[in-house]
Parts: sequence; structure tokens; C-alpha cells
Amino acid sequence: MRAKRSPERTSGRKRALIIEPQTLFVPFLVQTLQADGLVVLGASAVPEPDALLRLRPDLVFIDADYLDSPPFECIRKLRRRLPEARLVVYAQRTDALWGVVARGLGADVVFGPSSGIEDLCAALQEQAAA
Amino acid sequence: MISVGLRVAIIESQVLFAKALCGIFADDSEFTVVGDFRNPAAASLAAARPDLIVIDLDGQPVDIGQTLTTCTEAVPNARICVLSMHLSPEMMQRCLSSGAEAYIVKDISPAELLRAVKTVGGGQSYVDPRVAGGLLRRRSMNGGKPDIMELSTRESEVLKLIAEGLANKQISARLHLSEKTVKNHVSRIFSKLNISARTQAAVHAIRAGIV
Repeated sequence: MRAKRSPERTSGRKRALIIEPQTLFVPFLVQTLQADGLVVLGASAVPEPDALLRLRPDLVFIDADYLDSPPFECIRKLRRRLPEARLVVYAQRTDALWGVVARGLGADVVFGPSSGIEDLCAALQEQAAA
Repeated sequence: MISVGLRVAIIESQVLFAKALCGIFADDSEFTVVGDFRNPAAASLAAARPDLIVIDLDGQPVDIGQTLTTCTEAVPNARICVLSMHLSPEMMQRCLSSGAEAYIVKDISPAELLRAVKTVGGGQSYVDPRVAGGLLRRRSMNGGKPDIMELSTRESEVLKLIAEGLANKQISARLHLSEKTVKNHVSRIFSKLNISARTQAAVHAIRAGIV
């Protein structure tokens, strides 16, 4: 349980993982999460980064577009592996049904292309506090 | 405030990532961000007078050719850099044929993006080497001959009508273009397909299955 001994864990700050195939946007997301007080454990372009998942992040930001596996499958697997983590899912899909299905599979928050950084920050703060 | 460097307009349908793109360019002193748009609305784009347009095609609701045509018509002198997540030679070819100077895949770092866009700002073109390789392989399999994918949407329409036997005047009436514009399109089609006669054009169109 190496992760539990880490300074971030003992300091009480929530630890986050980013799953984002568009690596161009990763530094921006890291900066945003850190500004919200989260410790970013790492970022991955693949949906199931084993080494990072073993660190048991408290929160996972997932960009559901362009994953190399179906997004719903990814959400379902992440929920199964991290039952306690908050899953913040971003998708270009705008239809409500997609969001309903994603939540049903374990997403805690789903937001889309019209959402800005304020929405992301609000979701992060809410989920980090949960 | 006096703007310095290359004037960049960002077109990104996703609000969150538009913020990220604006930040990347705003942090580099060689660029000034002059516009942040969700779609290529011609009037807004023209008013921003960008030297460069950086457009994320993923999430744009309309056809690639139409989207890029809106950009080129709004700001004819601006150089267009397309962002995409698709490692697709066909899509890259379509973008370049429709007026883009760069095809950049978004699985790169911000520093690499800036390098690519500066290359374009310096008057050169940039394509993701992984996609360019696919295009070259396809060309090689095609005996080095260019193919129909190199035509823009409008050129494909004109080629289809050539193959149907229409003269330039009839094509201009059908497409609501001037005869001179049609002549220009025909000339570009001949050049891209490396042909010199309308019958050869018709053969290309039939082989490509567009008629």
C-alpha cells in the first residue's frame, strides 16, 4: 500500500488521475486540477492505466472521446476498479440519454462541449468534497 | 494595445478546450490571440483579421470542405492549421485540398503544437509525419498517381458534372458560379489529376465512383 504512505495521502489533499487521449490538453487539465487543490498523480492516454490505477486516486477525470475502447465500457471498468473514486466524465456528446447511461454505469458527473472551465472547477470542488 | 507577432484566431467547438488553446498561444510572445470562436462564422472571423486560423475539426458539425471554405472565404490570406484526433490520410488530404496548410494530430504536446504553427506562420506547410507516411504509401500503391481524394468538395462537384458531359457554361449555371470560376476549378482539377482533357477527367470520375 505504497500510495497510502505518500505525503499527498497523509496531507489530506485529494489525489486525481487524468485520462485524456488528446495530450495537447493535458497540461491545461493538470493546471486546472492543481489550482483546485488536487494532487495530480498522472495522466494517461489509455483508458486503463494499471500503474496509476493501483495508486487508488480519489478522483478520475475522463475524456470519453477518442478512447481506444468504448466509453461506456471504460466508465464501467473504472467504476469496478475504483468503487470509492469520484468519476468526472467529459464527452462531446450532448444528448441527455448519453449522460443518463454514463451515470448509470458509475459516472458521478458528466459534462460536455458547452461546459467551460467554471463548470469543470465547480464539478471538481463538489466531487473532491464528497 | 499594440498587438505583436502572428495574429491567431482559434476555432474550437468545445469551450473547455478553447480555453486551453487560447492559453497555449497567449503564453507565447510570438502570437497574439485575436479571436476565440466556437465555429467559423465568416463575419466574426473576417473582423478578427487573423494571420493564422487554428481550427479543431473534431466537433465541427458541418462537412470539412464547407468548414474550411468558410474560413478561406472569410480571410483569404490567413493560413489554416487543422487540429484533429484522426490519423487519417484521407481526412488530411481533404483538409489540404480544401485550403489548410497544416494537419496536426492532438496527441502532441503544446510545445510541438507551437512549433508546427510557427512553421506554418513562416510560410511553410506542416503535416503529421505519421499521416503523411500513410498518404505516401497510398500514392505508391497507386503507381505514384494522384487520386480523387486530392480534390476539394467543389472540385469533386465540378468533376462529376464534367463526367456527365456538361460544358463549363452549363456547370456554372448548375452550381451558381461564374464561368470564370468554373474554368479555374477545371484547370485545378486537370493539374491535380495530371490530365489534359475532359474525357480523361470523366474516366477518373467513373473509376472513383463519383458518377
